[in-house]
Amino acid sequence: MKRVLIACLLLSSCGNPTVQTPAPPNSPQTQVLNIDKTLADSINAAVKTAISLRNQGQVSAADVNTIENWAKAAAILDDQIATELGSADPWTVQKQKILLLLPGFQIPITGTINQTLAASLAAVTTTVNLIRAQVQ
Amino acid sequence: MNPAIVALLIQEAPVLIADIVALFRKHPALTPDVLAALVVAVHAVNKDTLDTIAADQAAHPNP
Repeated sequence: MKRVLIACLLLSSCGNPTVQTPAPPNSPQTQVLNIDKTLADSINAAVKTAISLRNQGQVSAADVNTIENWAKAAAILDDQIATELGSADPWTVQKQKILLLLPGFQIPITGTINQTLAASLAAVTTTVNLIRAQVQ
Repeated sequence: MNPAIVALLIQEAPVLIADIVALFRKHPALTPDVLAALVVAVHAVNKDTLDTIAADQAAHPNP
């Protein structure tokens, strides 16, 4: 009987070698992780834009310092969102925790700044709003 | 390969692998390839951001 069972198991495991992994479900975690990656890219671009503009004399060193200090916190928050999405928490809890992290992305410069830099920072705000829409 | 890059990979790999394994275990219904790529990408971009800032602030002390 044991041999028959083993044979059945072997046949069933070898008989269908082309079983495919199911198509990726469009889960909320995957969607927010995608936006989280976009947010990481936006923060990265804002920092590099600010540095480049300062080196061209178009933005003050003080403004760049402010943006860099904000971006350090923002990059860490962005990582925390990814970590939360990978946690064992249910989606309802993940949403609440992520929602609490979002105010930390508030752009620190509100006055008149270089238009290129303003556009770069606006991209961050837009992406944060996309995440907010997913978790509210 | 540049020894510095090898050293960096050895240093960073365990953390990334642990993250990916944790994700697979906690969300078995999700596709590992997609999640792994996203997590690695998010970590990599944020690390680059922090490295860029650190280098720039070292070169340009507080105004």
